[in-house]
Amino acid sequence: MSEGTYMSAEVNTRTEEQAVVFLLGQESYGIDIFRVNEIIRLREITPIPKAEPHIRGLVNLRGKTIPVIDLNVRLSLPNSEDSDATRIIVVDNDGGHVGLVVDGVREVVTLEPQQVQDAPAMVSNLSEEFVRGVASLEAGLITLLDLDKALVA
Amino acid sequence: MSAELDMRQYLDLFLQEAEEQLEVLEQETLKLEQDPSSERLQVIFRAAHTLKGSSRAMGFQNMAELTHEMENVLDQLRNGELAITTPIADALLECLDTLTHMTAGIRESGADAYECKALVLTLQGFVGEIPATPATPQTAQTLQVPVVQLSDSEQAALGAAKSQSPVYVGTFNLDPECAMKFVRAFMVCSLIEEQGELLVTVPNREALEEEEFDHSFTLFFQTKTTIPALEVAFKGVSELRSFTITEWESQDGPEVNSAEQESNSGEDSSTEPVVAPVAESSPAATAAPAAAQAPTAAKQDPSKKQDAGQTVRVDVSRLDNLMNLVGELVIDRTRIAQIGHDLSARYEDATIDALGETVSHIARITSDLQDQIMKARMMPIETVFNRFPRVVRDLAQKLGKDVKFEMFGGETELDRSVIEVISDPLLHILRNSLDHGLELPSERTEAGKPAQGTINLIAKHQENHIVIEITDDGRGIDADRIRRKAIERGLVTAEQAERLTDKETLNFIFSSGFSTAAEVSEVSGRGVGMDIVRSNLQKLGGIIDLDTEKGKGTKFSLRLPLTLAIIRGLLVKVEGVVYVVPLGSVIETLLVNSSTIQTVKKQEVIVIRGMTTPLIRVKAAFSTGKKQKESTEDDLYVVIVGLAEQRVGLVVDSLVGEQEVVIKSLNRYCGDVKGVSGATILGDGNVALIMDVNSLVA
Repeated sequence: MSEGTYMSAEVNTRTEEQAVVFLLGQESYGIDIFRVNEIIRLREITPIPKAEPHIRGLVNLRGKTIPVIDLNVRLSLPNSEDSDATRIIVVDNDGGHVGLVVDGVREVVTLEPQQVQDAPAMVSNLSEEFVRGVASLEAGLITLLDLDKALVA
Repeated sequence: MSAELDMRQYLDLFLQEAEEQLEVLEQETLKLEQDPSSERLQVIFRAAHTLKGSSRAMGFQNMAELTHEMENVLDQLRNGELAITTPIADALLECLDTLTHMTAGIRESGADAYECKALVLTLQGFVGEIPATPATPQTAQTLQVPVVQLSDSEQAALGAAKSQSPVYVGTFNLDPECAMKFVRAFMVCSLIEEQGELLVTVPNREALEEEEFDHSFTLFFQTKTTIPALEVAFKGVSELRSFTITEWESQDGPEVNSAEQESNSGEDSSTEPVVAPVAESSPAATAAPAAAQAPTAAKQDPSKKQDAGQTVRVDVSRLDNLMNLVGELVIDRTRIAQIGHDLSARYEDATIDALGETVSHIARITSDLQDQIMKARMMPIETVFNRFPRVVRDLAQKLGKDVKFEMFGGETELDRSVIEVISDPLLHILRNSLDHGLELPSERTEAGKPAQGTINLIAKHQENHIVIEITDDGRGIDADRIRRKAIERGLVTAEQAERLTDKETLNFIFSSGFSTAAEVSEVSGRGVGMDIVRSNLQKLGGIIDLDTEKGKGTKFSLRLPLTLAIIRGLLVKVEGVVYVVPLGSVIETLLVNSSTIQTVKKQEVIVIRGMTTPLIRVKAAFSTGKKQKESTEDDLYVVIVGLAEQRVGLVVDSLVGEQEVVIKSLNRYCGDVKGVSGATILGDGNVALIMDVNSLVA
C-alpha cells in the first residue's frame, strides 16, 4: 500500500494524466490526481441522521468538518466492511473538501492517452454515468471516475 | 500646483471621506421633507460643503460643480429664502444618487465622468436670480501683516509683481488633526490660481507637497477678484481652521530679520488675534476632538456622532479570520481543560494544580476575547434599515401611494454576516408591501381607511434570535387568489389546492416565479422577490412567517439567529452519538419516569407544572437507519426546549455536559438535513452535530 506517495519519474507531457488508483471491493478505480488533496486513515465518522444513504457523516480534518461519502454506496456497489486498509481520500469539490471512503489506496499511475478508452457500454454493475473511461494497464483495468458527476449530491 | 502630482495616495482618504459624507447626506436629506429644521439643513449643508472642498482639491470638477450648486440651494433653504418643496427634495436626492455614482466611478476609474449638467441647471433654477452668497465673511482684513522669512530673490519677485497690481499675503492655519495637509494646502493654492497668480509660498512648494510644515503656511499672490470673494472661497476648504489675508508691503532687510524671529516663535500666537472663525462653518472641525481646541470646536453639531479619530475600518475577511482563529482557540481550550481534568484525576501533583489554574485563566481570557470579537462583528441593524426610507419614499411616489413608513429597533445588533444577507429580503418584502399590500389613497378612503397607509419595520430581540417584522395595513393577501394562481401555474392540482389550508396556500408566494400581480411593473410582479427572500433566509437558518387578514393588512415576521459563529451548547447522547442542543433554547432538563408519559392523539406528552408538553424521541427522529429497540428504561432524560411560545421535550439517552461550541455549517454537500443546523468539534476532537430544535418540532 503506497498511500499515494509514489510519483512517476517520467516527465509529464501535456497529454499524459496521473491518477490515484484505489480499490472498491476487489476492483481498481482511478481519479484525477489534481483533485486529490490528501489521503487519511479511517477515523471516527459522526453520522448525519436522515442524510442521503451514501453520506457516511462528518469527520474532523484539522479543525474543519468535512463530509465523508461512501463510494461503494454512491456507485451502487456491494457494501464492504471497514478494515485496516480502508482510507479516506480527501478531494476538492466545488471549493470545499469531501472525503471518499474507499477500501484501500494502491498507487499513482501515469496514463498515456492511448491507454485510456471510452467506457464500454456496459461496465460491470457500476452506474455508468459516473465513468469517464477505462484504462488498461498490465496489472489490469482501471475504471476512471468522473468525480464531478459522482459527487453531485 | 502641477497636475502631475501624484494624488493617488489621497484618493483613498478622499473616497472614505466622501462615503461618510454621502451617508450623512442620505440620512438627513430623507428626514428633511418631514422636518426641515435649520439644524438639519446645517448638517446637510456641511456635508455638501465638505464634499465640494475635497472633490475640488482632488480635481473632480463635476462633483465640485454639483456640490457647489447643492450648497447654493441649501444655503437659501437654510436662510429661509427658499422653502423645501417636493421638487427640491427630489432634486437633492437625485444629487445624492449622482454623487454616489460619481464616487463609485472615481473608485473604479479615478474620474468623475458623470453627466450632471441637467441637475446643475435644475438646482440653479431653484436658486433663481438670487446670487449665491454663503455665510457672511467675518474675516478681519486690515490687520497686521503676518511676517515670514523671504529670500532676497523672492522679495525681488514680489516687489516686481507689486508694481503691476497689489500683492496679498495669506496665512493659513490648518486644523491640527488634519489628515491631508498637503491636499488642503493644494486646495487653497488652486483657489488662488483660479482667480489670479500665486507668486511665492512659504514654505516652498516641495515642502508643502512633502507636508513639511506644521499647520500653517503663507502664500503671496495676486488676484483678479476681490479679497472678500476669495475669503468666501477659502471658507469652503475643509479643515482650514483660520486664515488671514492682508496686502503685502515690501519690507527692508532688518525688519524681515526681526520679523523672522517673531514668526518662528510660533505662528499660532502671532496670528491668534486675527483668527477668522472658519471652524464655525467648516464641517471639518468636527474631526477635531473638542479638547484644547478653539472654543468654536465645542460648538460642533452634536447630531454628528461620527468621530473620525476613534474608528478604524477593517476588512471583513480579517474579522472572519479572527473569528475562525478564536473558534479554534475555543476548541483547544476545551481540550486542554479536559486533559488537565484527566491528569488531575490520575495524579496528585502541585504542577497539575498549577496547570488547572492556568487553564482556567486561559479559559477566562479566551471567552473575553471571543466576546470582544463577537462585538466587533456586531452591527446595529440600522445600517440596513437606513436605506429603506429612501426606497419607500421613491417607490410610494412612483406608485402614487401615500405611506407613513416607520422603523423601530434600529439599534438592535446582530452579526454582520447576518446583516449582509438580510438586506435584500427586507427590501423585497417592503416593495411587496408597498406595491401589492397598500391600496391607492382613493381605494383606501372608499374602504373606510385613512388615506395614508402605514408600513412598520420593527426589529427586536427574542430569546437568542432577532425578530424583524414588516407590517402593513393594506388589503392583505387573498388566499383564494393565490390558490387559483397556483393551480393556473401548475404548482398544484385543483383537488390538492382545495385541501390546503389558507396558511399553506400562502406559502406559495415564496415559490420561484410566482406572482399575483396582473402586470409586470418596474417594482414587482416578476415573481423573483419572495423566492430570494426564502432562499436568503434559509441560508441563515432563519424562519419566515406570514400573517394576513383580508382588508386589514399583512405581517411578515422574520426570525434570524443573532450570530452564526459560537454558541453555548448542552451536550446530549443519543444512540451513542453526541449531539449539541443550543443552550439558548434549553429551558430545563428533567429525569422523567416513563409511567408519567401520557398519550394525546398519538402524541406522547408529559405534564410539567400543569403545562402539557409534547415529547419528541430524538432516537426516532434521528434514526440513522439502524434497528432500534423500544426503550424499556423507566427513567428518561428530557430536555425541555422553548420555541416561541411553545415548549417541547426532547427525550435523549443521557446528558453529557455543557460546552461552548463553534458552529460550523454543514457542508453544502450534505444538503438540508432536517433537525440539524450545523456541526462542531468537541474537546475530544470528534465532530458533533448541532440540533436544530425548530425543524425537529416542525
